[in-house]
Amino acid sequence: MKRALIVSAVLAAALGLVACGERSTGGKTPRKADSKVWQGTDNAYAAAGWKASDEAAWQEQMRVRAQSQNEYNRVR
Amino acid sequence: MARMKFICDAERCIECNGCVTACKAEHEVPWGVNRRRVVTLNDGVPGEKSISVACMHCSDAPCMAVCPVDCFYRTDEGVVLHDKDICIGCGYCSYACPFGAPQFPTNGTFGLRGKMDKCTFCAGGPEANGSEAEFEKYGRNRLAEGKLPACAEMCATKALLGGDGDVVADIFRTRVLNRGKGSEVWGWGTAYGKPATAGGAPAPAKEPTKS
Repeated sequence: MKRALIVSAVLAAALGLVACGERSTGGKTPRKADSKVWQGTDNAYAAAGWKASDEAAWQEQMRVRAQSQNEYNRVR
Repeated sequence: MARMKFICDAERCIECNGCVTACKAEHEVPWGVNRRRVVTLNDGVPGEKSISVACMHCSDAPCMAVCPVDCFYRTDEGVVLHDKDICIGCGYCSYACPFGAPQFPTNGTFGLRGKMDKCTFCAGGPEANGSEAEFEKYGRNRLAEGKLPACAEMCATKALLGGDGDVVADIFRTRVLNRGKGSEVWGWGTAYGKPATAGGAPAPAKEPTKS
């Protein structure tokens, strides 16, 4: 009887101490994963001339769009 | 794969602050926060130069290295973004950044410092592309709309170039060859490393003293 009481007291103490421990985060950051930009958006402001979810089309769109900053394309 | 970069052509910048205004309007950036600003070097001295400065999305970003909560991440396009739900607003990134990019909104009765805010290269954040939540926290996601950053696309003199590093460097190189001067790109070496390793990128600037 006495032994059973000691064992249950030790178990209760161990359970109680669990609350004092530090929870492991597993070394992983809780940061959210971002979606790819080439997947596009659902909003109405997307530029025309490329298809969402097509990575190659998005890359080409970026190249074409960047060339709009090159005024030598217009003056020559 | 595109590697997004900014170039500011100091020969062309006329300090109009159009890029600053475009950024503030596009992302509805609050008072006291300037994701982009125009800095004049050697102000008042003949030959002064102005440049538009924001987060350069560095190849080896010091903000990422010092963040104690690891809220930063880099996209496949080389854009350095952060998760505002993780940021604790400690300001370490502000001290580490060579461009003064991280901004901290102050609000409330005691001027509490909020979570860090900075240029996102118009690529939003970790929320769903183009969602209301993304706009509220990070502003518009123009890259997902197939557009380039508003500041660069709005620049009247095309001093500020934004886009794939190879493409914008090529545009800049053509200009330099045509005008025969002004090959210095302020901040390029600091942000993206030396040109020997950057695949024919423009020469880094001799950085003059700030006014």
